[in-house]
Amino acid sequence: MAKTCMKTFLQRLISSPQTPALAGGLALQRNKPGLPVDGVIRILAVPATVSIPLTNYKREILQPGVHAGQHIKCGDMLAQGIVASCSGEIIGIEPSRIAHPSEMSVPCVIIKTSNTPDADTAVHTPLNSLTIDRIERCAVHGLGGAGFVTADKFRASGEIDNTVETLIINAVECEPVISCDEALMMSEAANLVEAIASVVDMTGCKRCILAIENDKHQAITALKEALQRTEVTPLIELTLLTPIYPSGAERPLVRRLTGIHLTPGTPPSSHGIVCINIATAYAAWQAKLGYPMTSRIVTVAGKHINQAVNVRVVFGTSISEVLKQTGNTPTHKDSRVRVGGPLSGFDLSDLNVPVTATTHCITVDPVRKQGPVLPCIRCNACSEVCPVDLLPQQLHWFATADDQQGSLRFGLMDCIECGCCDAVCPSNIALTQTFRYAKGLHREVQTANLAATESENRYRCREQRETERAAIREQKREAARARLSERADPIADALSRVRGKRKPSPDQPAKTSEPSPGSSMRVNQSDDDENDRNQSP
Amino acid sequence: MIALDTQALGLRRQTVRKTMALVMVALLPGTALYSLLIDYRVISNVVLACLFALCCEALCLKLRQRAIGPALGDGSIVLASWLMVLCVPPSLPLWQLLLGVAILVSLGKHLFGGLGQNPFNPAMVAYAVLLVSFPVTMTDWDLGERVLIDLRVDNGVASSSSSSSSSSSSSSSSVTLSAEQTGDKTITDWDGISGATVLDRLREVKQLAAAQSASAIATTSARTSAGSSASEAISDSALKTPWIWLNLAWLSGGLYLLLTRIISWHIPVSILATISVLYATAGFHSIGVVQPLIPALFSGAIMLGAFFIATDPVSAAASRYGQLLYGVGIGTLTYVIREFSVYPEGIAFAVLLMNLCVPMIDRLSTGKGGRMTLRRTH
Repeated sequence: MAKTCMKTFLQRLISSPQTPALAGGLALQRNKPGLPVDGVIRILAVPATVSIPLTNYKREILQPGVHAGQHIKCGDMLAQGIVASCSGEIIGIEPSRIAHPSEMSVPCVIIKTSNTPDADTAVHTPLNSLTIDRIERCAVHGLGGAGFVTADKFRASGEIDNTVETLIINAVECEPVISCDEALMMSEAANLVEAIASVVDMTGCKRCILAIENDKHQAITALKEALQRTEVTPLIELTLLTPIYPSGAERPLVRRLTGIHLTPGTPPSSHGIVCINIATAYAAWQAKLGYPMTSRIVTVAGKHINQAVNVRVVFGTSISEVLKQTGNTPTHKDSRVRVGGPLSGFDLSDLNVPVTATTHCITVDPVRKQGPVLPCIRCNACSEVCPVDLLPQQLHWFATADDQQGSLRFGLMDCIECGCCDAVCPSNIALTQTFRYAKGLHREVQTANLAATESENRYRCREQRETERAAIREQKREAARARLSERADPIADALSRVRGKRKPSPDQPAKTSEPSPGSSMRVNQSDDDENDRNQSP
Repeated sequence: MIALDTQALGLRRQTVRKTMALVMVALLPGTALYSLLIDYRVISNVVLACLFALCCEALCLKLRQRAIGPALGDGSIVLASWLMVLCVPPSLPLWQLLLGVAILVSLGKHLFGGLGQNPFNPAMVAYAVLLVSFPVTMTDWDLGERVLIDLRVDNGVASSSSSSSSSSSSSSSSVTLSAEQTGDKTITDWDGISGATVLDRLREVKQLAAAQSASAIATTSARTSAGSSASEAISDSALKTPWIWLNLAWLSGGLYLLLTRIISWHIPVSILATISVLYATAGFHSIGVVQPLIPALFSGAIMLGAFFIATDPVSAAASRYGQLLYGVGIGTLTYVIREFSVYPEGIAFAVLLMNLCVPMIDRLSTGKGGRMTLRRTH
């Protein structure tokens, strides 16, 4: 008795009573504006033009499969994995800015939308059961934040051991302000349960965890009701988590739910886990019904917003259009528009960037005052909150010194860029930004190293070929020399050879078609004659 | 712009200035008690040293062509020089004290690049330089009149140590003095009495006990009795001084820092645990009795060192496991220096030596991929 008491006490001392353990993280105030009051999510009107960036989640430029002037329909493939979000005419494929912290430009397909709105009919024939091919055909991307290609996730898990042990449906929208998933859960709970069931059917998983934070009361109630009503879902476990940022990120979530510690090299699929966002599951279900993924729910919030809302926006609509249609065009002089949440997002300088699968939130806030950045005093505030157990203060030291080896030793690539360390740093240091930069630098060095190794290999191969060739030549020369030395009298030999040429044997001259030394000699002679003639005046 | 939007988070973050201010608040009761019970000059020393430190800092920043305002405002230099003043005897000549402050600012801090860059604890650097440069004044711990009255009340070992020669570190000379010799001598016979922190007294008593047990070599019971009397004497002598109250004040300040989460428990607890274990085992080994740990822990600068000096985040280890190692190292070195060297107190050198090892500790104490191997989980 005393022993068990002691044991539980120790366990409590080591970790909180819940089974999942997440080191660090921030317990942030709940701040979810713009949740639907009447359970209806407004759909924004399709603007006059939409612009679809031809790039994937790795920011690789894709080759367009369409050309300017072409008329396309909603759901047509524009490039690999990218579909048109509405019907119309392509008026150009030109580089344009996208919502990216570096304000980079990528080629975008600009579509002049047709005046007649798309009828709400399925593009593809509805399927009885979901397939990976259909998910790919409908260009379903992760709606969580990274925009990973969903079909690839399922494929990767299939490749490794052909089974999905655990399917994790991520409804842990842990970042403040962002509330698009919660809005979806509140308004479409029944459909979501059906969507999850269809994904479960497709993967054939043994376990399906629907993870949600325990402070999303309305969403939980709606989901519970929907789960009770449907009979097909005994597999789905609704798991409530205490709200700790960044539980919604893939690696911390997997760790909290299963205890498996994922490292950057090992995707969850190598442990038989697939983790998808709940809105992605919904999009996959839409794909099963025949609708390609052409829109997403976006949270519009902030201090300079009249009324925070969640609206469904067609991909390619510009941010300024979204703000305009929701009646929130920034009027204040000191407004700044931010894409993404307060921790993971970034400020925009140009509002004419298109909404994509990763644009989950737009906030308009007053310009903030930046405190002075002081040196790091290694106070350990950052390592206290790091959800992946790193020492950001050490990492920062090495990253600012561009010491690749040191920063890799202290886990640079393990950093999930959650921003927790930034939020608590007493010196106002932009730690996450430093790590992003160091990661980029590391990747660059790696690519350069790879290229160098490749060219070194090429050079080595060439050298080898050259030496081989030289060896063969040498062999031939040796053989010739050996042949030469075999003969006793080279002069007599040569003479006999010449004689043999001059007096052809009587059985050969009839065959004129066969090229013989004689004929080539004749040509040479004629050439010589010509030369002679040219030379003569 | 890819910076964080902390306004939207509604998160009140700690600032460097606030951190330093909280540490100073934790130092206040101890400093007040110090000036009341032991020497009122502490207050003036602290004020003068802090003002001089600010001037030195401004000068260093100007020479280094850095912005003066924010660096002066963060309070780090005030805190460091405050700690240094608490470590040196209050009777230290002013010019030596100010020299110490100048060394703290220049050698301890700005030579390495200012705040956050120093590998060694600046206060301890200054203390070490002063100790090796001015050994006499730096070990001149005047206990003051009130202490003498306390000491005169109880006879025996406590007064024996107070009758030792004025240089507090000359503990070897006090071996010849025994408790019986000083029995009927009165305080007025002496010109003046100085010296003897509790640490010196501890040392003397121990040597006394060793001599006694050597003379009464015969039975184990004699040895035990000698040992127990010695340990009683030690606790007596330690508990009769105002130093114990001072150390309690440092302890309460440290607990306040723990509660406000400015420091974590790892470093102080591991230091105190190591010292306790070492004193306990060594005492048991030499005089057959486990020595009372209270005088060992509540004497000298152990509490101040464990809670305020060793926990200086800049020069301490970063990971939790590393902090435990760091604390164990400081504890061991403190014990070794106290017991086997000419210096009465070892925590300053222990901290400096362990500061040297911090990069290595940080490397050893993080696992694959820089993960901390020991930490709290939610």
